[in-house]
Amino acid sequence: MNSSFIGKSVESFVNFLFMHFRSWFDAFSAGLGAVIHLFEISIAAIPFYVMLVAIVGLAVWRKGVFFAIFAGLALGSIQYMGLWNQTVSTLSLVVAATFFSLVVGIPLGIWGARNKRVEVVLRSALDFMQTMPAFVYLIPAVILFGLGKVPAVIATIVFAMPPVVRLTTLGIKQVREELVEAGRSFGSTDLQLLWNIQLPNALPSIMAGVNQTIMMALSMVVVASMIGAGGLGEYVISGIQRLDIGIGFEGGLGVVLLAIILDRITESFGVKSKKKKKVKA
Amino acid sequence: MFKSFAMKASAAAVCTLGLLTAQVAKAEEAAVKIATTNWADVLAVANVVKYVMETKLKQPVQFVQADIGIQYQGVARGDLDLMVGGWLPVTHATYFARYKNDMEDVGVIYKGGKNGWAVPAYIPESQLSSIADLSKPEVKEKLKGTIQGIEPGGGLMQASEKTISAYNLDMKLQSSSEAGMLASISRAYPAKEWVVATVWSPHWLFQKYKMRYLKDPKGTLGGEETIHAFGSKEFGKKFPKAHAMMKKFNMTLADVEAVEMEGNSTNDYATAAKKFVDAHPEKVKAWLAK
Repeated sequence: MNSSFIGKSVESFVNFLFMHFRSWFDAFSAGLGAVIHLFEISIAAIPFYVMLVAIVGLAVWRKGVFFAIFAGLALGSIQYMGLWNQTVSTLSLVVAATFFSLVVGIPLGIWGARNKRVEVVLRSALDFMQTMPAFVYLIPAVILFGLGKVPAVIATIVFAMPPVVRLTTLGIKQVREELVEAGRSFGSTDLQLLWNIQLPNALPSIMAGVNQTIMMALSMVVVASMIGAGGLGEYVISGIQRLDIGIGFEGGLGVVLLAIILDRITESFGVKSKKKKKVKA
Repeated sequence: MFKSFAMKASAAAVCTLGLLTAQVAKAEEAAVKIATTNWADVLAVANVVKYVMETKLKQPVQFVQADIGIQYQGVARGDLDLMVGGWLPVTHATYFARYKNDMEDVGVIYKGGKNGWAVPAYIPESQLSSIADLSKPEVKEKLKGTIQGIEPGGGLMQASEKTISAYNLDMKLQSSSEAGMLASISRAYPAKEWVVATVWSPHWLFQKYKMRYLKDPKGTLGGEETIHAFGSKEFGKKFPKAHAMMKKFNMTLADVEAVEMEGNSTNDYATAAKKFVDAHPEKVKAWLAK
């Protein structure tokens, strides 16, 4: 088993980046690390009961009483299993990765919708990011950014960003032509057109992308803990290492419960804005 | 609609897979199934065993790659016939306690395995030679307060946690994976940055990088480890010749490291094992003695 020219070039490229731009990567890593840390401490600062009330309240507002009861029970059982700290750590990783995915992904998606060439390039890049097995970029991430939360968030961003880019592009392209033309005939600039017509109408699609991005980020939890992400993923790996079915299951259940809560709540925002949009349009 | 299709499709896939594996299992029943992991020490020993069994005993061997915990479970259940990297008394104590009644301790392969914390040799020994030195503020700062660890929950990591509290260290044990730990060393090494990692011997990392173990005066990371071969309960009955050979099989730590070094640099453990066996006919004779 030896890599060919293709693999060797990638390896030398990573080494080249590391040797020549090390100080840049270190600075970037420190900056990103500070932002991730900020997310983490602000989420960790919220006491369990405040978080419980907030999420149950959100659940009642967005999804109704039945889901609120489920969310309450889910959070209660996470607390009961003693996994609250791990869940907070995982949640902050997901929030940070989602945040960066959206900050980069939504503008990229808009650009893709407005420029055919950009869209073609983006599509191939996104295919690559989504299908390249995540394990593959763990080691380059560690070489460039060191062990810990930073490479974990970067690996998660690579995996989780594609849906929001794709669905932003799709959403904008699906805005009805009459609406766009109406906007133009009233003399809208490109920016006004985007802000007042295209984005509001594309919102359900964009929100679906946000929802998918969060889910993808959650699915990276265990893999990312192999390079120091910590949280529930670490708990799961610990269970595997000890052949402890109970620990593994509880860690996994924590991920599932967190996923259901995040999925249902973020999904509901897409549905609501659809209604709003109809009134507006 | 899509969901139900996906469910049907995956159910069909699972059934097909089951049938396929059953077929494959039937075809390969005659082979000794040896568990391997991508750890250099296990690969070195397993390939030597494979080469000897296949060429001297005409006994086919099949490698099954599995995580270490799964190996114990597989051998205990009888799905795997043999594993050649069982570390006692400390590293695999949890697994051993759990499965010792369901498997056979076929014998000791080599002695001198070791767990510990190691640092690159460019870190001056005057500043950092013992685990106790990690409590010095300037040392801690240069190491960014972190010990680079491997998969959480395993023997070495549990011992490392004990060590942190025994020495009263204010450092974080960063759990990741073996690959993550190695990557963080290869990141620090060219820039001569300070780094401390949980490692073990034999490991090719000591050939690739100049590293030294930190002294462990309290002995919380454990002493010398002995590496055992564990077989399933049926191993002796199913493969009497291979079993007799494994009873006599042993290597020295230097043997294992030699195969490892060759195997790791060429990425071809099978050839490295062949070279080693062909160069040591007297050892093979002893292993095959009636």
